Amino acid sequence: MAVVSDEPETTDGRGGPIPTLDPEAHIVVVDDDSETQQLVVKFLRQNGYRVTGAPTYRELQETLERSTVDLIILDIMLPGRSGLDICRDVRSKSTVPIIMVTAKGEEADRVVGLEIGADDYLAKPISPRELLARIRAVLRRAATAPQQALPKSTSVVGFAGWRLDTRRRELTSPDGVIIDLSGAEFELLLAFVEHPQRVLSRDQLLDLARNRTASALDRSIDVHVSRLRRKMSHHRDAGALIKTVRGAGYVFVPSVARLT
Amino acid sequence: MKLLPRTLAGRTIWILLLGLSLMHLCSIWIYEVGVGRLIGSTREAQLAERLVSIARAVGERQVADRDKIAHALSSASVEAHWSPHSLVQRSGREGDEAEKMRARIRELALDLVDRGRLRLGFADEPGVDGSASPTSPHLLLASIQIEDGSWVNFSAALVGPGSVQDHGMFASATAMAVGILVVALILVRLITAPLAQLAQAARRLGSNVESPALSEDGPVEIRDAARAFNEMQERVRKLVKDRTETLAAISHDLKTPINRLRFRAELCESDELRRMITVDLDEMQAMIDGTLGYLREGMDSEPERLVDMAAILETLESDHVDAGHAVSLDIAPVEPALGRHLALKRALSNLMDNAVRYGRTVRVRLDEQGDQVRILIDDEGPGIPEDKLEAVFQPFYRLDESRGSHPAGTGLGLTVARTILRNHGGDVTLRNRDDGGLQAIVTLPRRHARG
Repeated sequence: MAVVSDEPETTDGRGGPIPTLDPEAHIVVVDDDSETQQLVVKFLRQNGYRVTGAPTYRELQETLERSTVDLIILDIMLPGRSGLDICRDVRSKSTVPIIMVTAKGEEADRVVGLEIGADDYLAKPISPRELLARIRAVLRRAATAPQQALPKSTSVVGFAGWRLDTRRRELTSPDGVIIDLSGAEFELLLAFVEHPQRVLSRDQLLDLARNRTASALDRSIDVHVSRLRRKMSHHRDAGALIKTVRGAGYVFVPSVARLT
Repeated sequence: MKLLPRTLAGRTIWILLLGLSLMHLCSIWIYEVGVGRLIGSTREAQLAERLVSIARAVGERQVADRDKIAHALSSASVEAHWSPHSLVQRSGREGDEAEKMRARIRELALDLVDRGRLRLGFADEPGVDGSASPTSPHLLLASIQIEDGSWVNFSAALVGPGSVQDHGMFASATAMAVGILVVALILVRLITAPLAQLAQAARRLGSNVESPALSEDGPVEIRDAARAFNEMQERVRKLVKDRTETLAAISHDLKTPINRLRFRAELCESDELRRMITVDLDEMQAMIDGTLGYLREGMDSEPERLVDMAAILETLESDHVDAGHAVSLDIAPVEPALGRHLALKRALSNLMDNAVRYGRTVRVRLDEQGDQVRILIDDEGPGIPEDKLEAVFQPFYRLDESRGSHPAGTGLGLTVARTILRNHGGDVTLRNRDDGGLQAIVTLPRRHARG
């Protein structure tokens, strides 16, 4: 049984090919529940990855020393050392992408996980397909990210009085009102904020947004842009933040400042 | 018991008043009887002395002077006449008073009484002022035979003991009673205030186990009751916490096997079987998430901020429209509400999911009413029997009849929605619309003081 990759061949902003699925990618699964670990390992192997299971931090370290690792899937509830500590440790030594998995699924955990350098965060129970999608997104981002992503330290950006907290995924109006965003709207806004005052084509936006989210945008970029505009339009200083460029795409008008 | 006032303060004062009046009456009665006796006996003694001394004085005189001297010795209270005959007939009408008088006179002049030279009688006669006092209707008539066999006749006003009146004493007792009442009123208020607090706290506990503890002050009994109440609240809180933690732990621990099952399902050869297992797992997960969400509500640390309700509804609408549901949105400009963003989103999401699940076409309206944000969620479903409109908000309550054919919810969606909204000072109610379908009415104060 193979998971079908329904991803079209895409290009990044600079026109180079993006490795959408790297079958040779080496993934380490760190989970103290041996059954779960075996199942995840088996599932990922079936989908063409090279996978090593590591029940403890020690074994993770050994694997990291022995071989090149492209991605770590880390259970946060490990006995002995908290997954958060491990994440911090690994991050201090290398830039290998980390997907954190936790049974808690609380907002605070997610934020902390992302703050200490995890690349993505999943709450148990995980849908296997969701995991695959996230793995693909993280790997793809790792291959292209260094040039385009905001530095990891940046979590809040500001534009025209608005604030976007990228870790909490929260948009705040100039009056301090929380504006609820759907996942797609957040990704879209993030793509704009990371590329302000530049014309972005619909394809580019789709690609940028999808680099972060596992779920495909099931509506066209135009629909998401109009939804985003509608939400922001109820508030002060919302006029023409996102301009349509006929025949080319969209441009995010205000300048963006890093607030933290 | 209808005579008793309903409040404790009223009853205490009522009983106090009754007791005081009783005491007052008793003391007046004892006082009057005592003083009356004293005055009566003193007066009797004086009267007896006078009668004897007048009789002796008259007896010393010549016959011609006797009546004159008798008159001269008369006074307002005692009138004396001399005559050769007794004016008092022997009669059987010698009552207590006469007996007493006889005894008094006997102490002074033994010979008079023993030799039958004293006759006593009574005559009815209006008092000097014409208004016969009912307690002293009598004149004491006495005849004392002097040495030569003639008689000195007396008539003396008998003053009854009831006539002793002391208004000053009455007034002072009344003043004292009023004073005690006023002080009692204040004291009773002081005592009953903590009781009212106790009742209020008990009522608060009913809706929120985490309500603050009572202050343990006031009289010993009240303090004791407050302490007992606080201990009970602590036990209830602990019990609720234990149960909650147990349920949370079970729900939480279920995630690991479900997680495994998800991966095991991927090993299935049959796509159909895998799909069905996945659907079951999704359902289980929804229940667990719902339970955990319900248990966690109010315990998470999400801060209160200004929230754009329209944006939340727009997100939910988009999600439903993208999933192919017929959801429409009608938004009037409203001011942001103060609240916990994710909690409010969960509440509205639950209500909309419910409407979509049972009601096919869903129409959502947002507007303002005074200080409140109002959200109406109308569906085109079969509605809910009138007597179940409240019951569906109970945890794990399910309508088994008409809605049974629909995919099972967690049984917590409405409960969680109401809990969240009530924690925000708002509420959600359901009603069957006149034109069919169910309407959920959400109210949310724009700003509210927490707690």
